[in-house]
Amino acid sequence: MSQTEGARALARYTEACNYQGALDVEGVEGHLKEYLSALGVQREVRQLPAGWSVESEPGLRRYLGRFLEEFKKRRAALDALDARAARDARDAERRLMQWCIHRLSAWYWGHGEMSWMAAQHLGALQTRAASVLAWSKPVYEAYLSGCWLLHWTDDTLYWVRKPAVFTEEVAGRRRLHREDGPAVESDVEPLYFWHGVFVPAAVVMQPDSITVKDIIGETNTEVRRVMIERGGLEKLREVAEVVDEVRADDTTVPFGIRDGRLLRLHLPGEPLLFVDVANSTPEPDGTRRRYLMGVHPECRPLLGDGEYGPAQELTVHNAVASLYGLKGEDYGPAAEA
Amino acid sequence: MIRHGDVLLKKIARIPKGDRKDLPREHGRPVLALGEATGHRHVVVGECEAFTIADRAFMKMIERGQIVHYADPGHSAVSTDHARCDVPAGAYEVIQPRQYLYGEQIRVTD
Repeated sequence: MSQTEGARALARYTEACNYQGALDVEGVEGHLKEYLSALGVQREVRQLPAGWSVESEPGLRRYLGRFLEEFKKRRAALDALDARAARDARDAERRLMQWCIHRLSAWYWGHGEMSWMAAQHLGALQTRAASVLAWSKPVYEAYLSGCWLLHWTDDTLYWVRKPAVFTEEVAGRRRLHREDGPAVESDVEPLYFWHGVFVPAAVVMQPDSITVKDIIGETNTEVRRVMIERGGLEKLREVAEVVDEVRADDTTVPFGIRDGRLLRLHLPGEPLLFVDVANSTPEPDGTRRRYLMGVHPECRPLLGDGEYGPAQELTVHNAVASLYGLKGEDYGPAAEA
Repeated sequence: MIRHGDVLLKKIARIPKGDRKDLPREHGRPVLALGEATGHRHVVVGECEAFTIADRAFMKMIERGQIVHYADPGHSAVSTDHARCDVPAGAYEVIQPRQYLYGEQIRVTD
């Protein structure tokens, strides 16, 4: 491979990473057939159409049945199914299939994400490994023709076109963000992001509908933070009593708990204790993200497996230490970021 | 003691005995924690061993390294969320926080 050839291949790949880009359906399917031939396997090559359903795609229905059978005892699948339990069965199936394609094929495992797969070809051009070039070349070309994801079933190789993406630039890099719709317009499902955080659609589209109960029930601290920023701050203030607070300029305590507050939320049922702290590293604009985390009502260290440490005075310092299973006197990071 | 976002490295005198299970690695680097909502990773850069023993995580830094917050699985961009932290050589317990909600302890995710 000449340096020029490698540089040209890299330049074409880099340009193809600007989504959505052009789509050449015949080109994608032709290259994917070459890919299958190189692997020595047979599948029908089929684009996952916009507006697809499990009913319209028999290959996906069979896949879904086997997936549930195989993974029914695994937590992830049950969570995905439970989360959809309130919806009708047809919608639940479609949601679970979306989860399989996006989160399993692309997000977590990466096995079907074409930018990752196509990058192997750039390495193969350098090593000149014929066995790799045989499959990596058609994958690379399919990616350049507009293919984003692959999803395998027993009889079909589904492919998904690249999504339209909406981003903002922060400190020289792009992150997903859109204020009036999904930041990823994918044929699998629309995905909503708020300044790089993957959130439920309502957080972007109906922030006024966010309730304190929604905020408390959200266990992901980044998503909870965005929910508060988007529509929950005033609602939280209405039910919150400040139990303890640390001034931002208090140098006698660890950096990470300065400007922190211990809050008791007065909601129906048991009062809830939360600690509200700022991120140690400021954002590029100088502001600091704030996080809200649930604390034992007696500030007992959370030791896991239902075990707790001794009760402590209700302070911000003790509360933060308790999250790490420590007593306040044992918590004092020398470095924080 | 070093805190990097929601990852706490607590210096310990020695690592307890027990069956070790390596923490997952990306690009040869141990991943101490990853974010579900943003795709970020807390990764150790430097020569080290990182593993769990009976559901507790430990790390042995062979020589001075860093804990770095990458924005993506490809480790192509260092995130602006958390600055790099130096990690001196030594043995550490890696602690991720839990939170208390409606009578239960829940591992913090982000």
